[in-house]
Amino acid sequence: MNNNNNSNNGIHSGGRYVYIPIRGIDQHGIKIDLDEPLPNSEDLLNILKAELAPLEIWLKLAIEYYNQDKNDDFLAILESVLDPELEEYYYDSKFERVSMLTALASYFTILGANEKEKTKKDQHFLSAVSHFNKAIRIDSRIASSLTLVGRAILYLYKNDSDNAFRDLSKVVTELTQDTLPVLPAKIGYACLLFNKGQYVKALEQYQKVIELNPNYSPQVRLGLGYCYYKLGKINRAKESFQRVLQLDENNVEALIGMATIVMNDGFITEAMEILLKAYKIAPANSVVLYHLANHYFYKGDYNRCIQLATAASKETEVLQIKVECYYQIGRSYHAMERWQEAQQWYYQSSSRDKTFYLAQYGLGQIHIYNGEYDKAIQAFEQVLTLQPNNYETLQILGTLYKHSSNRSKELTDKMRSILKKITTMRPEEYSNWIELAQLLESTPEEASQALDAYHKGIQLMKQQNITPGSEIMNNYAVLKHQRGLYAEAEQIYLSIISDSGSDLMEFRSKNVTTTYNLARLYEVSKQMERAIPLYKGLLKEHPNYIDCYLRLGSIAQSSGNFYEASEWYKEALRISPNNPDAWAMYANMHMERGEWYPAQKKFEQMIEVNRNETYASLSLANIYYNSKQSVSSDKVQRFLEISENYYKRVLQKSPNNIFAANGLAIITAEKGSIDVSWEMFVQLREAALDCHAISINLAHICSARGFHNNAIKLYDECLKKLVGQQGNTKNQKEIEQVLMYLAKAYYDSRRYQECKQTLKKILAYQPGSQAVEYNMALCVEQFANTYLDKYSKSMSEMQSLMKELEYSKSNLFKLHDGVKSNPKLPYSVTKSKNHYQSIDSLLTKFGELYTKMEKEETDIAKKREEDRVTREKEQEDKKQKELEKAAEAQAKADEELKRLEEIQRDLLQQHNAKLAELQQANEKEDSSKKRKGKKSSKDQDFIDEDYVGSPKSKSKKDKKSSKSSKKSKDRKKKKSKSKRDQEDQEDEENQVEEGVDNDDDVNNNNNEDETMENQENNKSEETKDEQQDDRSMQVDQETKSDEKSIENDNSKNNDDDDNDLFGSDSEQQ
Amino acid sequence: MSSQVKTWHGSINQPTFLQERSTFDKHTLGVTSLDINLGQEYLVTGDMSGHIRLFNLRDNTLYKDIDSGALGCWKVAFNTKGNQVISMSQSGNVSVWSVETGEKLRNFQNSSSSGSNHAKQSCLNFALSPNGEQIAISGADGVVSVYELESGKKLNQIQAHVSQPIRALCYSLDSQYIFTGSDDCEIRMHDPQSSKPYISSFQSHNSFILSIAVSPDGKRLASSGADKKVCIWDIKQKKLDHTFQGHTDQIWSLSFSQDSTKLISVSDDCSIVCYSLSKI
Repeated sequence: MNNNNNSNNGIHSGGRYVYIPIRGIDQHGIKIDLDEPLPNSEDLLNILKAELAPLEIWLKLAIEYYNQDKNDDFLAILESVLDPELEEYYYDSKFERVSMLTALASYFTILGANEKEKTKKDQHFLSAVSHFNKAIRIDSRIASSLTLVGRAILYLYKNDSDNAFRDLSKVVTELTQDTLPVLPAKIGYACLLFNKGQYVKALEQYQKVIELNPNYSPQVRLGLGYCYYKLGKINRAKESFQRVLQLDENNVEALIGMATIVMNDGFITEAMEILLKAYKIAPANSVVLYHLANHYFYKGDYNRCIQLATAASKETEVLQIKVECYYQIGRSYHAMERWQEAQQWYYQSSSRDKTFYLAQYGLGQIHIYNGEYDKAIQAFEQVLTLQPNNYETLQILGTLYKHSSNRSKELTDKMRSILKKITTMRPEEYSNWIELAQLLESTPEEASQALDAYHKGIQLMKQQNITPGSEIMNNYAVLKHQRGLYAEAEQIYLSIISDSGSDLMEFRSKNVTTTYNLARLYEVSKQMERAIPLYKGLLKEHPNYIDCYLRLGSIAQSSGNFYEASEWYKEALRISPNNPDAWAMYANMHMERGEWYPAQKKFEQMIEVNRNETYASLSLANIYYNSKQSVSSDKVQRFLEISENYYKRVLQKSPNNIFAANGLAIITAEKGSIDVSWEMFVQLREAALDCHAISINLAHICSARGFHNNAIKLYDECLKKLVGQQGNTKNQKEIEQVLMYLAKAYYDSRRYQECKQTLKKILAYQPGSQAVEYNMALCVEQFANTYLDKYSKSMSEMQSLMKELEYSKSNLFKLHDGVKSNPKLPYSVTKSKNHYQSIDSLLTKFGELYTKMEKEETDIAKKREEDRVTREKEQEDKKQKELEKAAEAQAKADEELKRLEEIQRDLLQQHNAKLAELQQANEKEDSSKKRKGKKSSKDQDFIDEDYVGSPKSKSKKDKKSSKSSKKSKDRKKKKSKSKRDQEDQEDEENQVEEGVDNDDDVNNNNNEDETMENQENNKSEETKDEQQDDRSMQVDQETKSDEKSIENDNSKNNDDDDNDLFGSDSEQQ
Repeated sequence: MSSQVKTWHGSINQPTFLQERSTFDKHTLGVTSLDINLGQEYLVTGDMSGHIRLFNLRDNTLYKDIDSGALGCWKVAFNTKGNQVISMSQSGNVSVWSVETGEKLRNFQNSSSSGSNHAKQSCLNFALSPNGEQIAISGADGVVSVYELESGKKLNQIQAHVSQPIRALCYSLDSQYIFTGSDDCEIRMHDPQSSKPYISSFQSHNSFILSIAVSPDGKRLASSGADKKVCIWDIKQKKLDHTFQGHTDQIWSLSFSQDSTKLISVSDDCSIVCYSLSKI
């Protein structure tokens, strides 16, 4: 087999001629001129078969057929290779066989790609696949490079880019030798990289291909151009496209590319020329059609645009282009305001490709036009997920959310995040800031942020020389107003009014809201003299402005002019007979004055108007509860029940109403089931820790159950919270109230000192409070009583207690003397009289005790004095003795002296005698005389010493004696102590006697306690002192907090007004 | 409110800053008010039982004990010269006592014509003008009444705060203005000669104002309240200079040092705080 040689020949002959070598004869062959039309394939096949020509030549010829557009001949030759006979013969020339099979497959691939009909197309692709598979079966190693490329191309045509990419990257990375199919592989690879968006890599590949083969198909340069375009190197792209067009002036893709570039440069007409040229070359090219359609859209020729786009969508199977075309159609209809069609086409477009946001955007716009905001929101949200930073979409969504039908919290959250995003994206757009501010101002917690937003927005507007609308300024001022920046808010209000070109006192209707707000501001900052004329002026011009009446009424009410207030409220009700605010405020005024009946009437009126009026029901329940004190006992039960029913009704409607729950718990307690109500309160407290009314009630219950320490703790907590709360004058009374409760709890737990301390605190707040004075007296009395039982007493304590008692006594005297019993007094006169008497008796007792103690004290002092006297006596005695002793000693000494003198005299006499005897020995006598004389002088000295010394020893003795006397004193002290003990015992015995009295006292006290309890139960006599009904007071507190809520309501109303005004202005889409 | 009065001794430079000097505890129930006279010779205290006590601060002994009557004395103060003690009961009975003899020199009854229910409205505080001529009495009804101290003649009545208790008031250094602090969280400046409600208003506190004081140099006003804040105001510019928040509970009283460089405040949190004002 000389295949190799022959094949060499064959190859070399390629180009112009092909030699089919004749078997057995070297250097000879049938020469076929390739420039001429090839002979019939059958003839050639016969020759080839007969001569068993190398397969290479077969392939060559087949390609030639293909090149000469003789596809049937091409197929005939290649398919003959599939003949099993031949296959066997050419078994070894695997490479050729693979090549041929690949060629066949590629042919089918192309056929399939060009085929429009779906079934035929699939058929072609199928046969292509089978041929590829066959090729791979022959020899996978050889086949790999060829077939992989082919198959990749097939995949490409089948739009299976992932598989194609896999095959191609395998080829490109594995086979680096210069085998033929490397170039197309690289091109394909680059193309796929391009499609994957890896433009830089794609560009590299394309450049490599051109380096390897600069004269390769212009398509490569096209790819290069696309890459440059995508990478933003427009000029390089343009160059590439131009080069392509130089090589192949009819290259449609290059023309389109050029057109796009030129169009983007702004040369529309030139671009159109190019496009038209492309259109002439390839009238069915969908891309050309699409671009043309696009152009006509911008020219406003919508009908033509639709035509072209429809044509384009029909010409292509590529989803993206189709979707774009649909979008183009939809857009045209949209521009022509044919909404329905536009919606259809947009829908077509967006449903085919969910990621095509432009269509979604259009759809959203149509929904907005149709007023289907929720659908529009959906569409735009879709756009936003694809394009999270699209400014227009964010803006539209922001506005949409504002107009959305359901104002859920979720929605406002979304809206807030969107608006915040917008403002961070474009902080220079004032409208966004304003929108953000308008969103934020509705939630009180974010008022400060809203204020900031307004501030920025208004600042920007001023920078751009736009005068912000009065509504914006108004809301801005309201925010400042609410934050307590009164001066600034006032400035803004005034400037709004002056900017509107009219005077404040003209009360023009456009300035009504602003003027009202200004008046509110003056009212809040206590400048009533300014607020009132504004309100009145407003009413003069706009007599139906209910809020003004209400505010005027409220001002009058707070300054104590109840009659005037009621007139204002009546006026308001005359204009709007069912205005719940007016009714509520009117009723509240009655409540404040304790006029239960009219208040009740008013609330009933409210309920008549609106059965679901929670506030009125609650208030009625409270009224019934409160007024049960003033009715006879048989009615109490009924009133309680009515009140309970009202509470229950409220709870049914709004199960989270803490006030109603509180009321219900109170009634439960009132009915005697303290434990149940305790549990209720504990639960309520967990639910609403901030509601101090509940904590206080819980404390009451604790106190009633005897848990004084718990109660004290709770009261303390409440107190801290109340003090911590800011700026409410009603707070003050509440604090005093709680302090009173606290004092009562201390009193109950017998912590009288703390009780006193607490009472003094109240006094610091409210000097001259009769209730405090009364309670203080009671406390002092109790303390004194317990002090009496105390074992050890001290004089100084007694003294101060007596002082306090006296003070209490004088207070009580003041409280009951000449005072008629009056239910409005915060204490009971008779009781204070009783206490006065008991304190009086206590005082006398104390006085007795004190004098007794004093007596004891003086007795002791006397004893001590006596002791001292006796001691002194003893001492004196001792002294006397000492003195006597000393005298004795003196006497002795004198005697001795005398004796000595006598001796001396004797001696002298002797001496004289001796002198007489011994006159001869004079000298001797003299010396002896001298000696004796010395002696005597010595003796005298001694005496002297003795004399001096004796008093010394005496003093020592004195000291000793004083010591001993001290000891004796101590002993005496001990004695006296024991004596005192004895006395104490005696005292105790006495006290046992006294104890009877004390017992009586205790009994009295017990009785009092009982009466206290009774009174707590009856709640008829005492209203406000320690033993008053705590719980009933609590209800008062509730109503107070309710009042607060009503105030809030009012302010809300104001805001609503503002917002309404604003809303009408800001319906921008 | 304790029944003890303590005097303190100290300078800012010492780490302990205040040392207790002496304690006076002869009072019944609670001490309502106290003052030290000009030469710091005497301390005067009033207690709830209505006893006014003068202590000699040189040797810390009780000098005089005056029983002002069962109605009690809510507020005591020395006059500018320091030779008289002025006391006021909750019902508005003002008495002037001689420091030397302890005798009552004269007295007059504060009456305000604001309404019939005034009898219930107790008097809360008074202030003496630095020139020694006037006394201004404030009540729980928000009315300030100005009297001539010498004669007890009523000079003027100002509806200073609308039905809000005025717990703090003081005169400006030149006696031309009265400052009042009330439960409505406002400090207001008034002209004692005119019945106009007020000239200007200082707003920064969030709760009742319990004490205000004008610095001895007349430039600053200090205020304290239940909101635990001490505010320092510039009187001339009528603006807030500084806010101290050193206490954890309501601040009942404050006082300037003689040279106006320091301020001392005392609070329910049982602490005394001293502020240096030289830097603000």
